[in-house]
Amino acid sequence: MTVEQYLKSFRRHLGKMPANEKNDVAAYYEEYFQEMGLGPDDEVPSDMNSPRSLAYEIRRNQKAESLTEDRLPRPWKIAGLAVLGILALPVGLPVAVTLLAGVIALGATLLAIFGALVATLFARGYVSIITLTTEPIFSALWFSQLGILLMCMALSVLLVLALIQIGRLIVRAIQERGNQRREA
Amino acid sequence: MAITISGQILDFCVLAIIDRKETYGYALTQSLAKSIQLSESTLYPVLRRLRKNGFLRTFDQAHEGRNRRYYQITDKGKKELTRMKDEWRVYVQAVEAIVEGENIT
Repeated sequence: MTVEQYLKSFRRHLGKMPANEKNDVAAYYEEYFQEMGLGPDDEVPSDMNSPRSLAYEIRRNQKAESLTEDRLPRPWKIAGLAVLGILALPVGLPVAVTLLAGVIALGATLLAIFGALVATLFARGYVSIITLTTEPIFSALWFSQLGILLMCMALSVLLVLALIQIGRLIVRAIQERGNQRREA
Repeated sequence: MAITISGQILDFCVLAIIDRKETYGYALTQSLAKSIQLSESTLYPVLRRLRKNGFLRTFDQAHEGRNRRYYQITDKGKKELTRMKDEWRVYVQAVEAIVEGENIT
């Protein structure tokens, strides 16, 4: 491979890169060959890496550098974020309030449904108890009311147990999150 | 030398050489190649980085009808070199302390 071919291939393998960067690095290697006493038509020494791997090394280096460097110094970053936050407040605040209200509303709704269920069960149970005292014992109506009363009691117990379980899960989730934050 | 010199230590070496005398890419490669193993892709990123950080400046000079880009240390670069020399002493002592097993608590 001649020097000219090598440099051409090298440029091609550099791929996308700002034009001035590309010219800079190409000029560096062109000069390098010239200093070795090689013209465009001379053969590239066989111990040199291929233009592809040379271009790859250069690109890898530049990429690694752009990853490690902070484009903005830290105070500026924080200031920038603060300004962005303030600018976003007219939108962000209503959204945040809406989200919070939504969560509270959902919780309240669930609690209300639960309360209504419990109240219904208690009311039905109360009616059954009244009926049991007024109807003749062991009559068909008396037995049906006894059945309903037992069902109401069982359902109430189940509901309360379910509520306790849900509460436990929520508390545990919050605790775990706190632990994670402390570990981090 | 069996230990590879790279990264910050290479930056340090290059800065030290250029501090003694302004030089161009190929000559720098030659003087470093005497003591450490180099490939063609080693030095360009170092020079680019040092220049980008303002430790080096370049100027072009015609030489036998072609262009030579010279690298010269800046005041900022001189300060950086002094700082690196101090850091280097601390580093060497720390490594020796570890290897020789002194001062390990």
